[in-house]
Amino acid sequence: MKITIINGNPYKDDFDDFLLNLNNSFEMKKQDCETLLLRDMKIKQCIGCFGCWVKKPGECLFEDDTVILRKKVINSDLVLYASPFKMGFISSILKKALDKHLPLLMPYFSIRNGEVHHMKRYTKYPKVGILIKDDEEVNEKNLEITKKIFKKVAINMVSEMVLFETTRRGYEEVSNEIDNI
Amino acid sequence: MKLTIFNGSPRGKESNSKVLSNKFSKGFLMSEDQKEEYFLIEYQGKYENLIETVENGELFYIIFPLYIDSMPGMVKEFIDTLEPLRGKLKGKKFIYHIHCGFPEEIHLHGLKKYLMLLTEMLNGQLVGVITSGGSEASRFLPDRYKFFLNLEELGKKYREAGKLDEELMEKVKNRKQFSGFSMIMLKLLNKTGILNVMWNKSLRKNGVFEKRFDKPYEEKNS
Repeated sequence: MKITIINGNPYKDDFDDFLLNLNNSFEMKKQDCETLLLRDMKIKQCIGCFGCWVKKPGECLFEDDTVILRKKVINSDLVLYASPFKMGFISSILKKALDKHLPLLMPYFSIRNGEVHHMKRYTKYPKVGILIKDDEEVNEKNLEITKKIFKKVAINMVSEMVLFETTRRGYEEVSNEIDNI
Repeated sequence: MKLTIFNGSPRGKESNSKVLSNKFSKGFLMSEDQKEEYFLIEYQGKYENLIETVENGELFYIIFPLYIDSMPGMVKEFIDTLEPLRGKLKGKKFIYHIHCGFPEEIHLHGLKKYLMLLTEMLNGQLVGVITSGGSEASRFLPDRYKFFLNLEELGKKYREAGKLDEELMEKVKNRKQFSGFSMIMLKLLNKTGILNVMWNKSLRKNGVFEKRFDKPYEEKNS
């Protein structure tokens, strides 16, 4: 299984260590895993120009490091989006990175789960996992809202959410749970 | 009362958000000089410059489109900058208006819950979260479009009654979701390709129609 961890931590702290241990645990198990550190990447805000749909299909017109991000995401079996909460939701860098997933879809509509979504561009999309840093910012309410939103993100990404966890569980436990997916 | 508008659309002054906020404020305001308008795209990387505006404001109208099932990343950046004001905005009123290009308003429900929670975190007073589906073409539609008139009326009634009129809030959703007959019709229409006409027109105009299904990032052996 090809796993990509998207580290949306805006500052270096022990959450990075958790993700590094998680990454290493997959490598120990001979899993193909790579971590992208968003705070070291140049990520421009998507401006909703739809150039990725009608001018250069499948690619963003504005060059930044999200080309690597999209390549990794679409060729993974599982993408683990990781972030601490700030103001009760994921970091702005992770959100900006997610906004730049748009070229992975088609402009055309398709109906999934009884709702209108965008048609898929690729044959296969990765499964979606979410990992939230457990700290004083996290509570039942904001976890529930984030889970609800990411369930939608997964449907939009022609996929399913297979994991929603916090670091309350150790990295080994999370790693083992991912093995069972 | 002064209305402070934060427009969180990455399209800034050319946005559908600008069109929609104009309609609401037209109904709400007795005169334009009671309006302060900020385009968040112009403040990227320097949102701390807006903290004083938030501290001094009384009534906020925060509008932005749905980007990948929640707020655009730059709006989250703005929200994060408000951390020092957490719990300190007692008495300040918040109206949010979120909208999406998808025809149904149901896509906005998760984000709506987050904005309610955000207002709690700031200790502000939530007036309401206006949600509208099918907003993508707003900047091309005539002023007398029913949706716009309803938004204007919503603003006017808020000024008169101090609360958002429930019936109008329902109307400006445009469509809550498809079900039953409307879903059957949607599926049929989607099969005909009629819903793709505008996209195909743009693709042809740009000379890339044949490339529309390109998969630039696909690895052969993945």
